[in-house]
Amino acid sequence: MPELANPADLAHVHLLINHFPTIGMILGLGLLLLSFLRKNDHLKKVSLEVLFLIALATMPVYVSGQAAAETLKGQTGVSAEAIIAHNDAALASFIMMEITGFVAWLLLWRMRRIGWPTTGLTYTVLVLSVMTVASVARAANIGGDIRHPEIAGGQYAGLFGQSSGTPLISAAAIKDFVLQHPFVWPTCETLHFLGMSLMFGVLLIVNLRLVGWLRGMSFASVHRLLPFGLMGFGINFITGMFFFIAASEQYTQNVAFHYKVILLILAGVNYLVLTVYDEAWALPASAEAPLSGKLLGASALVLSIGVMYFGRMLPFIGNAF
Amino acid sequence: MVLVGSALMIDLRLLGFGRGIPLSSLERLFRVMWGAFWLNLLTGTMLFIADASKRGTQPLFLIKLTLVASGIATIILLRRRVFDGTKEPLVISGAAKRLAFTSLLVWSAAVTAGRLLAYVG
Repeated sequence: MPELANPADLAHVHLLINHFPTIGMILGLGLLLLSFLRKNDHLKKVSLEVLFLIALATMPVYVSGQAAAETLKGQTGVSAEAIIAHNDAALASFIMMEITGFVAWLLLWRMRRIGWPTTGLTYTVLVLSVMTVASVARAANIGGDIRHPEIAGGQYAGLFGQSSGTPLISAAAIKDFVLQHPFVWPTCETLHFLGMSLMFGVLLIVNLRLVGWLRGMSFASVHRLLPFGLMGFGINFITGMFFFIAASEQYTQNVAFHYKVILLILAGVNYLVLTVYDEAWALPASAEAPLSGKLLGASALVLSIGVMYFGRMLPFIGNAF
Repeated sequence: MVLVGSALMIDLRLLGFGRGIPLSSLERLFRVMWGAFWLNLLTGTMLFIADASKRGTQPLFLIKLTLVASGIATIILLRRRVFDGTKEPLVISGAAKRLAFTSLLVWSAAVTAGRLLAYVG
């Protein structure tokens, strides 16, 4: 299989997209605040969609960052200490980001069912967004110290000269935990497959309904299953992160993983559309979905099977164990 | 994944999640599951042939086969007991719920055993 990108290309990709999370979160939070001011539920929905999309967009940023770190390793004029501090800060903000995206999605899903945003979830999203903006800005700031001699003179000292201190979450500690306990990897693999069954079961039913094969049910009734799908994804995201952190080289330099991440992001966008899709929501039992709905369902099935295919091929096309 | 995923969805529906989904509409899913089962049987047999002397003597492999067989049995039973009539049952009986829960556990155990095969013995 031809290479998509070598580590240097991925380092370039990282530089290209590494501001998306910070700017995107500020934009999402800004829209959310504006929706409060204008008392506009439609705007609120848009802000939640932005937050979800930014959570998706952060995945390639984190992954390519790991490749960038591998490329930079051992080069002069680069602070190894800053790379580690940036990685830890980025991991913490990545986790925050995904939680925010998840809760934003949950609120979108609730809004679809009951018609308006519930107060508890809305304020949870607000608080999480504020925390994520702070966390991601910190990660970005430390990232800037890695190789900007005009700021740090090649010597990492942190912003205003303070040292980074002990990180809340340390990627090195997670790596040690996974690699030093022989039960962790198989346990995570097992959970990864259980999460996959759950997620794919939901995708299968919802999208077969849209395509027209399971037409006996209304779309609203299968919409109820969507949180199970995202729950399965959550399990797979967490266990997948354990694999990635513990053995990042076997993924960053694995073309099957590159395809998997790309398809995963597309599948995530598809899931968002599915959650808020008006034409489908109105579909009663036995009614045929419009062409756009059928295409949406078919693409979701193709994308999710593609994600599973490239996941399974990680050790065969690539070099993962 | 198609087989287990579909089975889990039917089990969840019977356990009370997604009550708006008519049971009769899920009936077509059994066809999907059988198709997936035969495909798995075919490819699984090929993988087994490639590695028969190792797998054939591996206790976990036999456990996995037993679990898959039990999973299939729960599906056949569910289909017979719950999806037999023409009219939609208003409440799912306790026995059907227990069967669905057993099915959920058995399939999860089968996936677990299958995945651990790569790491054990």
